[in-house]
Amino acid sequence: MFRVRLGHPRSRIRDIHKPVDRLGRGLVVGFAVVGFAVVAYSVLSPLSATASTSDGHTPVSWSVQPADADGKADHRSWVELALAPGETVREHMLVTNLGSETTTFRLSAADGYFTETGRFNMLPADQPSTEAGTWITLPDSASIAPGESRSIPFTVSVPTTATPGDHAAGVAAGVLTGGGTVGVESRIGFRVMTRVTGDLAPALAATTEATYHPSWNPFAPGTLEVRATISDTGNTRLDPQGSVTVSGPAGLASTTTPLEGFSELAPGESRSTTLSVDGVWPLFLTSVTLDVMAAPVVDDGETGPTSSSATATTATIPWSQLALALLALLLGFLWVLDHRRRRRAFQQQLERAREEGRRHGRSSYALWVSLVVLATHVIVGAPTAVDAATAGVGVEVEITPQPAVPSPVPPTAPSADVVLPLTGGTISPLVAAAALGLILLGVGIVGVRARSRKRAVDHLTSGPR
Amino acid sequence: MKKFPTLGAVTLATALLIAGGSPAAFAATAPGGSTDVGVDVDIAAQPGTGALAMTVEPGRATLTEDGSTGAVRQFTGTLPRVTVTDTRDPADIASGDGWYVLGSASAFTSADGQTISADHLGWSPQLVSGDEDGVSLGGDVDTSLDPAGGGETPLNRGLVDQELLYLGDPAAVPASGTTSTASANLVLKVEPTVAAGTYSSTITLSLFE
Repeated sequence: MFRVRLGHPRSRIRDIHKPVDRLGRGLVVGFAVVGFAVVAYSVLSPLSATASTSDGHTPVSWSVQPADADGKADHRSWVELALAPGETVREHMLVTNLGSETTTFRLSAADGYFTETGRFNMLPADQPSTEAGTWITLPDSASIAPGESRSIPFTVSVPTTATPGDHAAGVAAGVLTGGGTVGVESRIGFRVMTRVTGDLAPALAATTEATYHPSWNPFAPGTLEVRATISDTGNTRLDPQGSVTVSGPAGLASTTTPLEGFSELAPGESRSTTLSVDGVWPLFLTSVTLDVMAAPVVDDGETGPTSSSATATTATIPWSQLALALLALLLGFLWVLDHRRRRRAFQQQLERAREEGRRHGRSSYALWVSLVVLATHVIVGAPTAVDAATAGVGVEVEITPQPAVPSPVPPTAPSADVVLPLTGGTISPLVAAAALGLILLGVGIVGVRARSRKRAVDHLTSGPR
Repeated sequence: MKKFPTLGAVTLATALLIAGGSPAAFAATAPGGSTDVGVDVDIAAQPGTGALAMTVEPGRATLTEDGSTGAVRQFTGTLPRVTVTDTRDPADIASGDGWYVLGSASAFTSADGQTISADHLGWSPQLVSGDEDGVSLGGDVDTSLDPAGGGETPLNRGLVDQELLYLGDPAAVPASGTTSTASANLVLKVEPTVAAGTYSSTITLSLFE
């Protein structure tokens, strides 16, 4: 095991040489041997440290690369081939054992594919290949010493019946570790992508569907969830670039979003991605257009890109906005109804109040008013006082004292006795005070009754809500 | 003449080295060999200007019953550690896509022919060591007996073509290279009605770029 670790003999000799010079000649040989042992141990010890695992086996470490015919890594990430049907080429896989034990690597070739996330993978050992994986012939296994790099040749033979276009496969070198319930096969590989020459027909099929998620807030736009699916229906690998355009009726409020998440597609593969387009107002009908353009991954200089587009229309009914409008309409209608009903009720109350008032007016109203009028006439000595008392409410106001109006001439000097000029008689202060009291009583009663009636009307109109 | 013992020691040491290490000749052919023995070993092991290498530990991934309920029987275990070392010169990496380790499980089969499909196995990748800047850890994958989750893609697809570790941007790798070690917590969830027996599956870890 440690033999391989011993790289440069010279360096080790130099290391040994220095202590040797300082020591006595007789001991030199012995020390040289000890020194060698120390160097050897120092090389070995870190390895034994990493080698200690739970079940006593060492970790396996290796790398795999494409190589040229001389068995040297040629810095290709993977192998790209262009072959005619029936043609065979020889390629090389360079496997390097970086571990500390001789390891037998299982070599395999299988159909290649791209995962949902666009990663390349090849079929696991338990799934048989049916396509380009079967075109590759390589040894079943290779036992490689630690530190050794071995170039393992493999052939790619395209059958004569192979269809033109791109065919994906991979080769790998792996080890099976673990055991128990779950075995682990770890493998490192690279792609072997073969283009079979012939008519290339890049083709693409796009489909899209959309789901609208309206906002419950009528003042906020909703989100349109767009699911875009593309399929490589041609015979070349494609590198798709897509965009999604969302618009309302007649191209209203159109927005275009570039579509990310589409990676390389092999012939026959499909990929789906979901895009959330925010800020989409419900305009009753929203159309989603998926435009995808794809160029073949391997450009032959002749075959141009292909494109495909798909449109989906989804109903975007502004439910929350409609609900709001409906609510506003309903409230307005109810308000109008209520307003009318209240007005009618008020009119009725008013009518009833008037009716009542009229009935009251004939008795008490007229009584009190007549009292006031009577009193006034007592004071001013109106001759028609009796007629006025029976004439009702309105008439009494019209009556103007004839010449009995007191002179507006301000009294220049207060005289001792009050003279009513045209009536000629004098009124004793006692009568005047009694009349005044009567007037005040009448006015007060009228006022109190008016107020109580108003309260009654108010109560009636506001009562039945 | 005085140097005879020294010369003798050198000759002995050389002889020992040659006798004890014929493959050393291979190591010696590597370019850039230095006087440091330990470093010399590493350089000898890597051809060209660095390599993309994987190291797997040989531990077992036995699943043991843990946390079963009346509705689901649950078995858990740990994936043996996987280390990916990328010491390549970024200029030499032709693909701009970096590399990735994908995990896929085969169906669990028992000796008497019963099977549990691979979507019953989920995992939760764990970064054991390494820088998270350049290398990313794959997302958790739930089993088909778990809810789908609210995301764009359902999480309960089971272990089919799932990333354990990946390098998204080769330009992010420092000149000295990057080493990342990952493990994963494995969980197998099956219906309580599943037939008793010893089932086994193979998880295939594939490093591609």
